[in-house]
Amino acid sequence: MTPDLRQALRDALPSTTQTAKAEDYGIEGMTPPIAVKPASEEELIETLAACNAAQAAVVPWGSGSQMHFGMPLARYDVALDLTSLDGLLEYEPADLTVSVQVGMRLAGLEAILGENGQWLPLDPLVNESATIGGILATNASGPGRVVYGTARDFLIGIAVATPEGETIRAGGRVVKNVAGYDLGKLHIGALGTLGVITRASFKVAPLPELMLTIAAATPQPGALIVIAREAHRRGLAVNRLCLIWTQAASGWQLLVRMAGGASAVETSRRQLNELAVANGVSLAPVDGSVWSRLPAFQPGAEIVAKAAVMPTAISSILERLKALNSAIVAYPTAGIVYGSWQAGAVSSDDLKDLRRLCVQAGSGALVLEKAPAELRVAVDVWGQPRGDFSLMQGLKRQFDPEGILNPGRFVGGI
Amino acid sequence: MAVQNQSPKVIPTAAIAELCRALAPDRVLFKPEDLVVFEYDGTIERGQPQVVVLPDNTKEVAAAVRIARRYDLPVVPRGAGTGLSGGAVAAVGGVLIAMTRMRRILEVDVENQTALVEPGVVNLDLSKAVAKHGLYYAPDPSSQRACTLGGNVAENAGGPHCLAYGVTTNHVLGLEVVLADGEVMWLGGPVRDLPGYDLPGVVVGSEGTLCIVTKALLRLLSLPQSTRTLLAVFDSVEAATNAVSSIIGSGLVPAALEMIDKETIRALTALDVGYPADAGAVLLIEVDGLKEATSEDAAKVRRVCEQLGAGEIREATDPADREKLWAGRKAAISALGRLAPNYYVLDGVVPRTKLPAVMNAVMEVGARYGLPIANVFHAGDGNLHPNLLFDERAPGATAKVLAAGEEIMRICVDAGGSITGEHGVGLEKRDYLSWIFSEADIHAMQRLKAVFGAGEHFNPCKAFPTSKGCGEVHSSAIQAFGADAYV
Repeated sequence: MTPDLRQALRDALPSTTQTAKAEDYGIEGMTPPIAVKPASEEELIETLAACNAAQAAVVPWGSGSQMHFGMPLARYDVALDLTSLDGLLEYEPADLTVSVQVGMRLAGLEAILGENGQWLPLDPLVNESATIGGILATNASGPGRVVYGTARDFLIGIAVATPEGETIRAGGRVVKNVAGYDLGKLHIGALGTLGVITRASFKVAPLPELMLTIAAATPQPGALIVIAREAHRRGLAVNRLCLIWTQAASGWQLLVRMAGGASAVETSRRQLNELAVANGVSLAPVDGSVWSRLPAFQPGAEIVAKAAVMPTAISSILERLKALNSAIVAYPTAGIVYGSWQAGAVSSDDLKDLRRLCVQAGSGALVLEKAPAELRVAVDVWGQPRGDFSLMQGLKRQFDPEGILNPGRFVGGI
Repeated sequence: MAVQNQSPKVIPTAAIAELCRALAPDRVLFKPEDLVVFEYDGTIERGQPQVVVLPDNTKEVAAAVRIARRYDLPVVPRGAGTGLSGGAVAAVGGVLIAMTRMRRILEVDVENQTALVEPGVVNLDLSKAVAKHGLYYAPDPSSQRACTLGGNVAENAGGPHCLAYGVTTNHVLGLEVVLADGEVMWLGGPVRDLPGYDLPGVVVGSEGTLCIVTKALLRLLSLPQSTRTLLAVFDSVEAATNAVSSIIGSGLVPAALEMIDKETIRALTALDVGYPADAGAVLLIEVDGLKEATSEDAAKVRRVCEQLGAGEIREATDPADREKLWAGRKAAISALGRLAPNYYVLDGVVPRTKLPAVMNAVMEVGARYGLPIANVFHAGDGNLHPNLLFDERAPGATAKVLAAGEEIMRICVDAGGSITGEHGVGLEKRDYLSWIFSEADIHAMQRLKAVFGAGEHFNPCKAFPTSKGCGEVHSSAIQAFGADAYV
């Protein structure tokens, strides 16, 4: 951006939005010349339209915890901080739905829902400040996904600000709705490349009456995978499940959180115990805080790769990751595995090999969710685009024709 | 009633010849007597295609699409034709692709709990085929004995059990589709969270306007260990509606929570499904899961219903009994034919807490227009289906029904709801779309259509406000449903 263009853009921006300090929004050594923090959706719209007219590259910010996610930015002119847009728009507990502005923190939303005995069963293991917008844009999920699914299973309505300065909405505030195309789906996991999500409506769920976490440990993961599958098949009252491996523990651990009414939890616990005994392991209750210590989501995890594969391929992925000295968090019945390392502990060739395994043995993919920039470039965060990439490029051209939103960060250079 | 008010294009003989070569002559129908049966879907709107093709595989679908494109003929995909918004009606003629022959279950992956199916597979047939593995396909539209999975994908179909398990879109992993230029493409795939935009997510529910689905990779669920089905009898719809709110408010989300009102029960009398004839309304409530959990949940449901004035609560004691309770619900719409020569099925959604007020307002509209209304619907989801009973032979009846229907749709929208929960916009509700979406919203949806290069090639005149070339369909859009209609 030339200084002239920069000045023109500054002049075009709404006056109250220029309070943010640009130096607070650096990403991997790139500091944007301008940072804006809109105080209202109208200001956000005006800002986007001005940036679009100036062809200035815009990077939407939530809490800023995932700014390394994706390929390094091709350009970065304006940081767009959405955290002031954090209102609760509508919440009628008996409707089991809630609408918010996406700058709201998930933790804040859960606190509001919790007061009414409800929750949004989306439990990405991200930091406390993570916003709804950031979670949607990165399609973050957690160990509850084995039962509840992911953001696409909860989002019922969306509002998105477009580069052309319009707000477009899809869906609504009711749990069943087939009017119009389901455009909300496109923005989940899209890293803000098709528009800036401003509002979201979700289905929510009653909080379980009781929750109890239990754990089992073994030197080999086989038995634990069998137990996980069987718990899933039987429909036990489980609402979180994961498998972890760390070098420090030098063994595999299965964590299961049972949830529901007293007799459902008790029955599930009994059946899990029987399963454990039959598979030569023992189960014991552990403190629920164990869920906040899963290895891939700790500050020490400087490289994080997420494999998405068919559940039957999970063992081969676990084995490979273990050979690569990774710390591992896996949701076996969902086919999701996170491997994590300290910087420098895994090579780009190893990661590319791992990706081949995911694609060939697991019919899936590997996304390098976190890594130093040079490794992200060498491995390619997203991998080869698939056969439907032409439609994705078409979407980008239609919804962000000037290519101002997070340029270069998404799949195939989008 | 024919919807086309401009004469459809005459189909060139060369196009028919090409279709015969690409498929087989006996799978290309163009004689008027052969086309008649393809004029309708679940509505009585008619629109005759000029040619019907019955492809056997993806390659033949792609060939038919390419030929149609070359001759500038619109293409309309068709499953079982049970839809209730005119989705499978060839509104402006063209080539209708009937999926009748593409009804193979290609692969069942028991371990990964997925099934790869062709679009013509009947919904219930999939659940039957995988039951031996302890699995089932969750979305269960009331038409599930007849409707096809391809049609379900097009309409994002729901059903009674969507309360707990979600609608079609929550169960689709990947789709093989044919684009408007005949290109065959896979969207999504066997695993979740594939990098890139969620394309299956937008194709589901697109009413056949973006592309033609030729294969679907679907998620299967494990059959629940235990299912308990209860019938709670109330004096009035209002009392039953309050019970719905209380059940949900008690922290329980049942597998299904269905309402059947007095008028509908009257229609069902002859079927001997066991609903008490003097009830003001009944709720059909199902809980499933672990045996111990369902006992707990069933007890909770009983408690809430008793507190809210349920006169009687019955529980199915064996699978045959359960079937019987459900038989009444599933046969409800077709039974309405006993009450009146015609009925107009509406499909609206409101936030759950608005149900009591909305139901009162709906009945008030019926009273004002002198139209009896029978209600049978997915109460737990706030998805109502008021059925307006009338006789189209009475002068002015049709216009009256349409006006009342429009008022009821308005009531749903004003309550913060939607104009369709599961039947689709189709032909019927195109012009209501602007009640809930702005011009910018609708324009964004049109952009998606442009990305798929679909233009008006696929299922023209559907799902969006009346466009040039489609004529004014609304005035003729009276629906009366036949003996095989379902909601």
